[in-house]
Amino acid sequence: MTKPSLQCCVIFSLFFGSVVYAHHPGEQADHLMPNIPAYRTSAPSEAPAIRFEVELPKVSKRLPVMLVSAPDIGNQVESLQKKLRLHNKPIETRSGKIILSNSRENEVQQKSLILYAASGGFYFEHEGKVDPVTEKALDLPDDKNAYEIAHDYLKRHELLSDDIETDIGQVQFSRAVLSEFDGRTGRTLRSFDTGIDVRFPQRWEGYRVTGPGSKLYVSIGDGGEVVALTSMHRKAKASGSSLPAIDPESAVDLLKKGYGRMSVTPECKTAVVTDMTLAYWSESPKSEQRMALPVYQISGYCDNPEDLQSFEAFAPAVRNAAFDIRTVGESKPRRDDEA
Amino acid sequence: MFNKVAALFMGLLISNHISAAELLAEHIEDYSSSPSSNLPGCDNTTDRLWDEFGNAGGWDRKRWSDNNAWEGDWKSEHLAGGDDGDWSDDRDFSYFCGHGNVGLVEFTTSNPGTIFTSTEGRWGDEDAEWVTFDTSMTFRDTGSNVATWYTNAFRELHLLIGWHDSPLDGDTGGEFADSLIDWGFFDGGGKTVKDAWFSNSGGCTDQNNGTTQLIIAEVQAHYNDRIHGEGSNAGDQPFNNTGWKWSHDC
Repeated sequence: MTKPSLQCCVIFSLFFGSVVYAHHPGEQADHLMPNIPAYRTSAPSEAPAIRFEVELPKVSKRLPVMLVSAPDIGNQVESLQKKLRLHNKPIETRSGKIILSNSRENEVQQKSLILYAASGGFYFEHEGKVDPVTEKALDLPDDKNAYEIAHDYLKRHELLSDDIETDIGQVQFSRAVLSEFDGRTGRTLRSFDTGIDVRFPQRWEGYRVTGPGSKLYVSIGDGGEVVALTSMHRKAKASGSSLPAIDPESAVDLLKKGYGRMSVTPECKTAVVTDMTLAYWSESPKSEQRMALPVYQISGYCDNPEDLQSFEAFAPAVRNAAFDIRTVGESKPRRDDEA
Repeated sequence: MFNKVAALFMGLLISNHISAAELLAEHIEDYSSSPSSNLPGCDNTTDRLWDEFGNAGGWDRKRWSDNNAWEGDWKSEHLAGGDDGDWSDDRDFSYFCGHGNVGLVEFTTSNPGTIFTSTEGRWGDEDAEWVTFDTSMTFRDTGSNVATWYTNAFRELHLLIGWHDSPLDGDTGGEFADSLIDWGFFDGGGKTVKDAWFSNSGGCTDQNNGTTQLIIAEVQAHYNDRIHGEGSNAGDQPFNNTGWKWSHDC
């Protein structure tokens, strides 16, 4: 793609593609939100008050707009076939997926991979081995061993990229849990972990990446075997353009006015913020995303005496400033980018 | 001769009726009458779920949306205003997409009410096997909430499928259905109901890291159920006072 056409693509995508304006009737919205769907949460009749129990993030005066790379699906399919030994002919489905699988005749275990053509994100599994129904505890590794198995797997298959954090202190561990319970009391009678996911976070320009398009999970099952891989993380680089940042307090004010996204219980009168982070939003792997904007990702709990439920929200992080076409593609930051 | 032909014709009708699997799909996009936001994703994902079941063939499908999606379609007919015997409990597989919260689902018209709660469902005494509420926190595992759903809802129901956390308004139902249904060489589905809901190329595709799902079952064997036409299921089981729940982070 030549530079002028890239610029056109950037401008078009930013203002008409991957961004939504939040408008209230009669108000001129001066902020931009990434394309984050609403939560399917019944809203309380009144927005809760918000209190902070965390130091607010320090952000630059301007924040870079990220340019997301288009996937090279042909090469990716070829490479994945080799790395994961999936030699059957790829099948394209009507729903925008490409399916790769092994030959059942040659290998006992059926393996399959579903790749989203819009983003290059994929899910690979050993069928029947992910979260099996069980009556006894599985032989699962502890966190440290799980991390080593997962990290080794990604390195061996050359599935790590520079924007993935591999430090064990940053990695998350998640377990699916199957439990039997007493219907009269709700008390758990017995429970089994049915698998452990090692989840590697992604960062762009030093900021966390969040959303359904930012997942790198290695799923480990019985005996420490890698049974699935979720690899849905787009590549991106700074576009050279930036937008004026909204400070965290102003972002929360916007959230209270109804801009952004929030999920709370109906009884929530005061939402206490315990984490507020600036992050880039990576859309569904089913979407063709070419630009990414920052957003504040907020979580905490509702401070009700009888109902300490968690809450989560996204608040706008950048102002709706006109884009200066002369700056698109420049790698040097503008002078007022300095905090 | 006429009697024979008539009997054969009647037999075919009966056998077709018996073999047809049944779907109820409901969604609410327009929440403008309540403080809750509109959900265009529910419209799109229910469209896609509807199409996937239609393309699979063999499914008799019913659908209601917005003001025509009623609480009574889900509420037990043994309770005032309930009509599940004609709708959600008359169908093998039922799906609802809309707003929810802990222990409840929100409707937009009073037919008979706007809030469906954990004490009002009774499924399986007629035909229901799998019921899905694609709504926020409806099955939040507070202990008592899951137990209340279980003790009320399971009347030979197999699985109650939904969310402990708050899903974003993405294509959950469509991806779920795509994973449930196998088109042979043309699709990657045909998974168990549990795997299709938990999969990162299924019910989790459009969700953020850590959004927790929950599936309640009468017996463990129901977690290996496949929907009709896609494999076997464990058959109906009587209520036995001890249930199963499976939580999974997207």
